[in-house]
Amino acid sequence: MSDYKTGSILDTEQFYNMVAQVKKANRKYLSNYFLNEEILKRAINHRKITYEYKDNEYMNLWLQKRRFKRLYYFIADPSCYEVKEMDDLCAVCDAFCKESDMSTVYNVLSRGGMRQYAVYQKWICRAPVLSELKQNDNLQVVVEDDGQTFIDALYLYFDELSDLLPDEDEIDGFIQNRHFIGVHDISNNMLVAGMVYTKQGFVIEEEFVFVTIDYQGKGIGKLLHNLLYQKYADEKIKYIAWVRADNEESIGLHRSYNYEEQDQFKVTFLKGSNH
Amino acid sequence: MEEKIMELLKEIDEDILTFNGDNLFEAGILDSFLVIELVSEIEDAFDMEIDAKYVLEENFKTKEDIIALMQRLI
Repeated sequence: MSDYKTGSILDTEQFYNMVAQVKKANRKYLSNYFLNEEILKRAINHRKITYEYKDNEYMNLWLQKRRFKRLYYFIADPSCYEVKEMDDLCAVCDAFCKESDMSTVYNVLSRGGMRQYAVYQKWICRAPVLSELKQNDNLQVVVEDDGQTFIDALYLYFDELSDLLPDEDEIDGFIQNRHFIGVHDISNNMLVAGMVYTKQGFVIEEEFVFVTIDYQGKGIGKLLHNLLYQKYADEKIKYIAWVRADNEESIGLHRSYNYEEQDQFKVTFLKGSNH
Repeated sequence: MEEKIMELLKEIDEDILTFNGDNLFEAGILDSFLVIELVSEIEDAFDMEIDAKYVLEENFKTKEDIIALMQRLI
């Protein structure tokens, strides 16, 4: 039995050849359903991408960022999947699937030694309903589409999964491809809440929403959503949110805006001693 | 073949068939998840494999793009 190979991905052709090899050998292969050639090319150019490959059995594509290694893409024969040891790094994988496939995804990634961290469900909304807001004269929207202001806040509040945040050399591209809405408390000039989202055509996807601890429970999350829906009130937008499946509060909030749940799940898995 | 693809597209989302714009993704009708579902349906229906290198947004922007891709591959 041959052992697995590992190395750097040098071009997309090399990647596609390995994928094709696994697909040909397995009529019922499993992958995490995520492939974005633009990100792939950028990662190859930055020499950040490595692979683990076992002939006809599986391929793991790794993207390394600081102390994280993201299992960016995998394709595998479900019966013989492996994820190799990660040294001191934390491995993260998002697997996209329908509810009916969730147990297969869980079994396969568990076989690879990864453990389930969280399940997010996709919710979409085509006709948002605005919430009623509490009046707070100290709060003011002063940061809108100013990405630079957000970077520090994002690192502060989302450090736990910070491989989703840009490295220093990626900040310009990150800001360019995103929109930002911030809420300041003008009594102490602090950024107290924010939302980061992407807009591709008529599709808007929430990426990060944060409200600092002292300001939670004051309706600021609703304020952020209202600001977003008001901004695009004249456009026919499809809004997408990935809501943690066990977060009743967030589910209730999105339902109140007229979001509807989809049979699409993102299951986040982790491996490593850091988490 | 075209008829069979239209049937599969209808199963994924009827809006694909009536869409007259130039980008199903930007219109919010298709996304990467649905593309993978569609690819899997096409592979099963035509007993073929579609290389990952063809699973790019540019080949799925309209129903005409999807049919053109299939005509190249079958």
